[in-house]
Amino acid sequence: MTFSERFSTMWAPVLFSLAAVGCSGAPAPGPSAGQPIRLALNWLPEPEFGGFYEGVLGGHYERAGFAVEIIPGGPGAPTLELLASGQAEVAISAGDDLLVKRSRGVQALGVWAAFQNTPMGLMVHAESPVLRIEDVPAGAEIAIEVGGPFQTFLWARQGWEGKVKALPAAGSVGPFLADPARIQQAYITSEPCVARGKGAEVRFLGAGEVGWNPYGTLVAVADPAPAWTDDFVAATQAAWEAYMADPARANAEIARKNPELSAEILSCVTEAQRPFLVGEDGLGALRPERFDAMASTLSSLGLLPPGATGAAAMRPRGAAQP
Amino acid sequence: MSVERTPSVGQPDRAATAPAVRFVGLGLRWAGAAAPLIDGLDLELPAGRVSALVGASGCGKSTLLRLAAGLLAPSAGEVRLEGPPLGPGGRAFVFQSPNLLAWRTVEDNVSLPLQLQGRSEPAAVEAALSAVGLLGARALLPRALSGGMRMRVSLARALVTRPSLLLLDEPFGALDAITRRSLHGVFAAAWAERGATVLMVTHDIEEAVLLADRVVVLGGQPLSVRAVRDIPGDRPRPDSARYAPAAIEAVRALEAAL
Amino acid sequence: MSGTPARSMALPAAVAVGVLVAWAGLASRLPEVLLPGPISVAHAVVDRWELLGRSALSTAGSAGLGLLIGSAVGLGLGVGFLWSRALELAVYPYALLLQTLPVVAVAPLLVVWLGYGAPVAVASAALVSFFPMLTAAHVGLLGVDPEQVELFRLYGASRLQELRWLRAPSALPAVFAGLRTAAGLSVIGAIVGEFVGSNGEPPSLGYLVLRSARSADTALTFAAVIAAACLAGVVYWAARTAEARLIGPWHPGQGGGRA
Repeated sequence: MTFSERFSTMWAPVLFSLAAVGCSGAPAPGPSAGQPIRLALNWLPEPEFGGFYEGVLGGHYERAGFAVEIIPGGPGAPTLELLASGQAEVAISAGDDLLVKRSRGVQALGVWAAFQNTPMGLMVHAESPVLRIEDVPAGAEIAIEVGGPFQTFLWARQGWEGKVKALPAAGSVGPFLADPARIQQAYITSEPCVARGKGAEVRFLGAGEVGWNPYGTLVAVADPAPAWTDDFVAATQAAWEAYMADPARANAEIARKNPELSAEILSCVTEAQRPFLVGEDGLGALRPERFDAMASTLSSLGLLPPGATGAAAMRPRGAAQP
Repeated sequence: MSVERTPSVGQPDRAATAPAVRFVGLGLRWAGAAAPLIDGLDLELPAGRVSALVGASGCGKSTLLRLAAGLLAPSAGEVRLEGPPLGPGGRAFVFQSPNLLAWRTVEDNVSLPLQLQGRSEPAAVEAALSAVGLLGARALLPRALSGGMRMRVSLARALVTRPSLLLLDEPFGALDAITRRSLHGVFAAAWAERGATVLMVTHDIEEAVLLADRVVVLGGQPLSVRAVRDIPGDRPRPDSARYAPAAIEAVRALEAAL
Repeated sequence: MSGTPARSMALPAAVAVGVLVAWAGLASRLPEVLLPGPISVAHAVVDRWELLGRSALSTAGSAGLGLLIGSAVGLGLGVGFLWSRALELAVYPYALLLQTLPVVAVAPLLVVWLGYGAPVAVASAALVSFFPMLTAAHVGLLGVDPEQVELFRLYGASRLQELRWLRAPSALPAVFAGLRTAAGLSVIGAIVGEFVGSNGEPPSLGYLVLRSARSADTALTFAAVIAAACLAGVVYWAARTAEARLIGPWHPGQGGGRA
């Protein structure tokens, strides 16, 4: 365990409850009438959150009685912690993150997911002989978030321990572009399009194909779920469907919020992420079996206690209020 | 020669306000030390006079001075100041190094003791500066001064509260011979004017005989009085007084006691 | 040391020219995504001047406020340690521990407590500048000539008088040495805080570094890094100027001391 993990394991529940005591004032009423919702993103404004922006701009949330304020995130955005401490009503997270945080005392429930298949994976140059993740040869080097759950999973499941070298990823595609043999961790929503924008031909190898497939852009609310949950989920579904049909308005807003994204990258990402959003079950669906499978994967990696299950971390659509 | 004049040392009228210093059964033992540094020392130093404490370096004479200043508490016996009680600033100490505050001008260094008592007396500062001949340097910072000038500032700082007990710890020890001689005159004149009780520690017997009314030779462990000798003659004495036969004889006798 | 104005300008300028030439030479052999040349960085600076300026101001504000808070706490605790040995024994180990606290590890906590962006940067800058100031105050306030303390005691000076007229001024050289370290660190601290705890609102240098690296805009990364270096330079220069003004006249080796 790294220091930071140990730190958060030991202290996070204590600190979060302190924070909750300090910050649990009633949310201030939003500018427009309706149930105020602070929606905390787990990354900077990018197309992977396009539907939420469409929900605000297209009035989907307002019509359903919500006044939604989107709070952008950044590296390590503690969205579930913000939810737990009452500073957000909706947190965007990922399937694995939700399970791990729940095991550490954060009371949150997954209710909807945009990415049916994880946007995470590996990126190689188009001319690379590596066609699938299983093809990565012994002696290769991969720039990856060292110690992260994906890296832990890959090395354990692919038998790479002692064979493949993990290099700390610096969050830049520069070294990748300079080295045709380079393999790098990537999100379909980011690095491949940046690399293409710089003139490189790349191949994206999705993590879902080798069995690492947590839901992405997972909408989480407090557990037990608030009364407005079903209405919010329905509005979110409608908003995302509208975004998939016509991303122009939301993408313009994203470009305004995040001027570093060029128009080319925006449209590249919007197209590239499409298949990952829909998946097999369709946009927004959640299946308890997948949470259980993720929980058992995390258990086997030592990231959750042995025998952990995941189904309780989600709430089926339309479940009756207790 | 002044040494041979009638022994009417000091100014009796002013001496009435200055204390005599009496060490009674004085003892001092550093924490953890095997033997006491001072054990049962009795010594009287007269009011309104200059007494020089002489001894080999490291014998404990500076410690005795700190006891007299109240900077150290004795482990046995007491230091009695016999006379009218000392008011604030009634006691002044001149260290071997001038210990000036580097960020204050000469004038502000001299006025420090007054300032610490919430007093502002420009006239007293002026008088003290004038007594040591530093009126022209009042606006300078210490780093612009020579060693001798710094020592004079230190003396002016000690004089500014008009103390009736003045304690000096080898004030000339760190100076070259020529500067030292020129300062002897300044110091002696300043004391003579004020009639304070002066205790001066030195390791230079000749200096002691020139400046003091009473010379006490100290030595040994525990510290004991080896010799006491009164030096007759008015102060301040000219520098040439050190060559008078009586002075030379006194130096010889005291050296023998060292 | 000689310090004629002409030489003190010419020497760093010569180094700057040398570095620029070496940089341009190296950049011409490497792809831009690895090392952009001085010209393209200059272009980035000119083109993105407004964004860089706003980001630098935001970072400067965070660094400055963090430095102020870190200094106030550090100096205050230094005085506390001077007056209370018990406080020193009780708190010093934790102050030491705080110094080793990686901002990266606690950034999510800081976000939860303080919110995204500037507050995290301020806290991070305060965290890194606090310790050098505490150490400087601690060493400076205790490192007084014992005879000068005796002098003050002899005249019955109060603790406050002793602090105000003796210990504080005599600690100034150490405090300024600490401030020079802390000033540079505060800029780095703010940028690290922005790097891990910013969501781009408002833009800041740390956010620009992060964002431009993600989009492989290395010229902008370099421009942001150069802006950060300029910022550190300005903060250092300000600390140095204050130092020369306040203690230069009496403290040898500072400012005027070299003339």
